[in-house]
Amino acid sequence: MSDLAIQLTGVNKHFNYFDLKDINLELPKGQIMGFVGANGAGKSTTIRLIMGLMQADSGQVSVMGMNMPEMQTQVKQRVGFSSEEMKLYGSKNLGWHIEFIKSIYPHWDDKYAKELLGRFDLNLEQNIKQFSKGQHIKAQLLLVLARKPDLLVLDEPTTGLDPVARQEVNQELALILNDESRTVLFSSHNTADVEKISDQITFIDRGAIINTDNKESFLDNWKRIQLELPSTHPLTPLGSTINVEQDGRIASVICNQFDEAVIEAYKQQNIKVHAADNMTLEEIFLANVNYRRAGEKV
Amino acid sequence: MNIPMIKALVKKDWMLYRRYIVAYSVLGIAATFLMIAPSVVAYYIGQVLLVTVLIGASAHISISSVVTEKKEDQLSFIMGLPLNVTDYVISKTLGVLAIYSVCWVVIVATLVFAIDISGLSDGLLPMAIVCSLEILVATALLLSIGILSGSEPITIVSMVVLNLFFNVFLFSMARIPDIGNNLWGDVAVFSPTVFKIIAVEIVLIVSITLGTIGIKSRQQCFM
Amino acid sequence: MTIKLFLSQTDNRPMYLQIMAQIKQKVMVGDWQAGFHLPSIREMASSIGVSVITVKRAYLELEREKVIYTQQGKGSFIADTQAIRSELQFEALDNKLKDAVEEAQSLGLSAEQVQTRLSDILNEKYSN
Repeated sequence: MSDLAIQLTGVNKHFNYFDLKDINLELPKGQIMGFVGANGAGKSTTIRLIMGLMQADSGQVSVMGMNMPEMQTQVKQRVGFSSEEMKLYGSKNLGWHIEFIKSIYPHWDDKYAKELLGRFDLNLEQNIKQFSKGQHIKAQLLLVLARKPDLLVLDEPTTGLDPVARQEVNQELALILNDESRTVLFSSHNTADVEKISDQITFIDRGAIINTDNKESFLDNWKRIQLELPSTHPLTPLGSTINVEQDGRIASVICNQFDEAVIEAYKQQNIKVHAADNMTLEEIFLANVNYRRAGEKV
Repeated sequence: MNIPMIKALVKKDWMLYRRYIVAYSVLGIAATFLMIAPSVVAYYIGQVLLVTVLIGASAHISISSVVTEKKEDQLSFIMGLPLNVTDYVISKTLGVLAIYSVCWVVIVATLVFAIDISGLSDGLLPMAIVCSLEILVATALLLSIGILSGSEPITIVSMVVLNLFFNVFLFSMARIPDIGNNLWGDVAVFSPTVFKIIAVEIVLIVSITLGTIGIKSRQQCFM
Repeated sequence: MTIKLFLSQTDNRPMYLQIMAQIKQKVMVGDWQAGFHLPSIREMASSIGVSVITVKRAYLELEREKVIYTQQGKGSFIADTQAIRSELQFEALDNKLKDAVEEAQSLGLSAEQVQTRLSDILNEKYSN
């Protein structure tokens, strides 16, 4: 048995105006991965490849140790997948949808479904077409969660939700943390949601994975260092610096492999280090993207 | 092939369309009764209504269950369930055809029974059966076009063409002496020609359906 | 057991430090006494809505600081509070002093100037 819930190796997919390039991704079982990228970065395409809805031009996709898309029926039996574009049947109510999904998944948990119904404040009898966008997303999430899947794949689960609904959904995702056998991959362009509950974080931009690491390493390794230089002469950055901004004798440097030695090295050069600030995931993501894009232009 | 899944999909479509199937059946039965009423005007109104109901139901169920479901992204929801393209296409060809056939069978059976017991000449029977089967062939074809093209405009244009063709078919059948000459006779004449046409129609339904399953199944992924 | 920690998105400290600070505070005010059984890492993560890896890190750091100890298979417990409480209180005090010094620095005060000001305050307080 493989310990990886998801494994993509050298996956490529070509479209007319977009290419997914050499995607390598591993998600160990029991972990939560946040998949972050701008709109159109390739998040949904990657997720479609993982779900076997699309065939890669080259490379290998394996989910729960099974090859995709060949084993899609077996895999989808154990995976709860929900995406932004999915719609339920407007002329039917949630109760009808629950009966339909329940008939397909033998592990359906009625008690859990009832709890979710209460916590999400959803009405069983009301037709789906009368649901607000938030209610619609929550209804779909209920249908996915109560199947008790081993792997949850959620494409933009909180996009378009109002703050109240977003909190409800985030709280529900947090409750999943309690179960160590469950793996979650969720994509978002909202870094605040991702930052809180993810163990692993993967950044994707323009069809390529630009960084993947565990969250604590991300937050530890990336720092913004505030410097005071001895002269207005342009600063020669030290260590693995990915961004330098200087105005007169004040400089701000973003470093992606921070350790104390960097500070010492600056001090040796007679540079005053005012602070080494933590960065939010959003700042790290943006710095990362800008750095890569600048590199592509060169 | 995942048979329980196919059954669940067909059951789902049945639940979605059953109230329409009931409504179409009631309308069809009403049309049949108009036809046997002792009035020529009522007969013609009934006949037009009957054909309209059969063709309308066919177009509604095929387009809605295949093309609209895709357009409104309910197919995206279905794709995430444990099934592959083959399971899906079987549920949409055999399944939807079976669902449509429920009202088709009710209406055609009523029609045959009504012609038999009423004052209408029994000679109409072969024509009625041949034409009803043509609508079933058209339904299979429309489903096939919807599934293979996935396009709303193409499917709607095909529906219009198929409707026009039905009128051509009607006139062509009436001009076949074996059928046309016996229309107003007291006896239903099932000549070898009639049987041949019925056989061709059945073969067409089967081959269109199997062909669609065969072509679409070669596709491994939904997208 | 439901656990409540009060975490802030706008707090500049990383989440694991916030968790550590809140647990220390619970110990300091006496809510969690020596031998208190902490929720498991997963329970804690789930109830405060923070990733497992972050809570794990907070627990490891607390263990390193000897605020908690972990018994294989049994879970984590608050260490002997008497010693820890004073330790923690000293640490809290040091942090406040650091903040004050940093503020002085940003005002451009020299070390001597800070010391002069501090002795003034000390004289005032301790003379009573």
